[in-house]
Amino acid sequence: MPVSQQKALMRDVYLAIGSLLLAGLLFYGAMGLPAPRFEPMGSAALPRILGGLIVLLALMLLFNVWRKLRAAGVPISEAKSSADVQGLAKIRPLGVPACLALYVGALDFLQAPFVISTVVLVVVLGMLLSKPTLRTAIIFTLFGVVISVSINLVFTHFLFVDLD
Amino acid sequence: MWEAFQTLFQVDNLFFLFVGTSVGIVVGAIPGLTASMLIALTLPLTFHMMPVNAVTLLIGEYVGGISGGLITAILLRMPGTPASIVTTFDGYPMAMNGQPQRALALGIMASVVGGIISWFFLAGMSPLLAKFALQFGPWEYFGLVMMALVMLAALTQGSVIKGLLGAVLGMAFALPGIDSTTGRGRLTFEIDSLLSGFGLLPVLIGAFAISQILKETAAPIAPGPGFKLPKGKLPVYWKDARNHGANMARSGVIGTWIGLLPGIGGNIAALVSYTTTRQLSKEPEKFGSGHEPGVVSGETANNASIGGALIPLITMGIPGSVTEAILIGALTIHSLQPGPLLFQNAPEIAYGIIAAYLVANLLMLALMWSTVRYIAMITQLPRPGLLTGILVFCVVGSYAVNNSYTDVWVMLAFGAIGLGLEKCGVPLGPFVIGFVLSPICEEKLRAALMMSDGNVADVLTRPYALLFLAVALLTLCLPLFASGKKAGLAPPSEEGKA
Repeated sequence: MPVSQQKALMRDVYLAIGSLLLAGLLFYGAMGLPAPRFEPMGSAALPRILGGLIVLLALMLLFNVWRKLRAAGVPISEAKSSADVQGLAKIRPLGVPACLALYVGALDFLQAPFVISTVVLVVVLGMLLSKPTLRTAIIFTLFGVVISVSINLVFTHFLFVDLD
Repeated sequence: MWEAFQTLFQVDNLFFLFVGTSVGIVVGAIPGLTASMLIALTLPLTFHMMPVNAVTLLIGEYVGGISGGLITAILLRMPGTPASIVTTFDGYPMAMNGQPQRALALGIMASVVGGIISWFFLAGMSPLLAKFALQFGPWEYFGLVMMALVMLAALTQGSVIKGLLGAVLGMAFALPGIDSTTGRGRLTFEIDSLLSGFGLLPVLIGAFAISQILKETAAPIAPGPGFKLPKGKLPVYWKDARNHGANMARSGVIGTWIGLLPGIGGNIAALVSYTTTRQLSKEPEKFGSGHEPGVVSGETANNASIGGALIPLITMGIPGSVTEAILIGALTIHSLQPGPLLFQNAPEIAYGIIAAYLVANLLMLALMWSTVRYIAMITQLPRPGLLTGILVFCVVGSYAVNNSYTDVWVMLAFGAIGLGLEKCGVPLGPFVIGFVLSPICEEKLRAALMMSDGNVADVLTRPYALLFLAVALLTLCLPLFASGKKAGLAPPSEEGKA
């Protein structure tokens, strides 16, 4: 079985496990809901129905994986990545969401000023997505200033949303 | 209808339609950015607008977003939107054979004709269908919602199981919040911020914009290939009406009817139309090597599918695709309930959508005809700057909904969920539409059961409800049966992308 197909099967397993966990959460949440009093269905019915459907579909997914593995006769542990991701591209998949979470955290918990935080975010993301050179830093600083000041102006003065 | 056109021709409405169509064309022309993403990002801005202004802006973006995709599809073989994939088959070879302007001219003309054909269906059928839908009770609506959900989940490309799982997961995420019947919190786990549930906008922006950008940033970001469009007019002749008229009419009708069906987007409409044209052609061997009818059929059908998809949206409040689900969100934000009563309660909106769709198509023609050269240049904008700007706008847009950072965290969480689901091959379309339709589905089912004293068999006395549920069941069973026969429900690879 090709490595890419083994990886896809592993993703199906993760999806099924995640779905089963969510179904468990639905059943657990539905347990604390009151029994129906003035209507036949009640508020716990849909979480239970959806939980049941999720379990069914997750099990079908797992059965599918098991059947394909059995047909191929190859243990899943043999799956190894041959992709060789270089440099910044290696950091990007985690770096971009991490920067974004830090930015929102700074705005939310530290109440950092919008314009300054946005300029910093734009510069960091810009360098992460292109090349970390002085020229990139200057270009993205200017871009950050333009974008943050204009968004701040539009939202504060025209849409009456205070971003700070 | 006449009054709707009069309202539309007021300066502010025309301005918003112009802005929407222009921005839509540019965004549609940039590969990776879609009309759904643009509309989701624009929604927060429409809060402070008059409903008619908001609707004209969004319809303009929708029409422009689908049409703009043809530019890069023809010049770079990179479809700006999935609906333009078919255009690459013959449009790009035409550009390579030294006829880029001719391919663009035909593509633009076909798009407009497709839009106009589907407008006739939209304007002619919608009021009648809305009147008919007034007879529907809760069972019929429940059946209709189930049919739309199952069709969307089962007919998306890829695994049926994953399509259904996406829809059910989307429905599950809509459950937390205060239960409207009992007035008590449900699945809130004593977290106060969950009492209001997950907001539609943060979920949409997260699932569509954030997940898409995170996916793009994970891939190597290389500068796009350049293409300089030669100077000169776009060549179109009167004889084209004779040569391509029948093809346009047929493709327009195919596109409209495929657009009507939930879950089958413009890309499938274009593909079906392209295949039909090739099968009917006397020179089928020329298709794929730069044959004009190929460009015409694909572009006519993908634009016509928009008008078709708008019909169930405004007559019954049922979204046919993700973009319509977002449009439902836009109407809900303005306290408007799409469905048959829209024609009675807010005729200026119902007819306004129909009128705006026609004018947006004409505006698109004028804009693309005069500025196609410059739009082709805009698509060469550096990706890092573009992606960074959109990320900032996603954060600000989500925050602006309720002036709350909780919505921003929700958006980030759904961005991660959307990315994870896509990685696992679960299409995002059913997920988002499940999220939008879940409250309607539950409300109608509970109302139906209350009216029938809990007797489920009451549905057997409702022929339309039975018909909708039967179609849903058939849609579900046929692909499962077919794939089961092939001894494999679906390959667990990169398939399943909406």
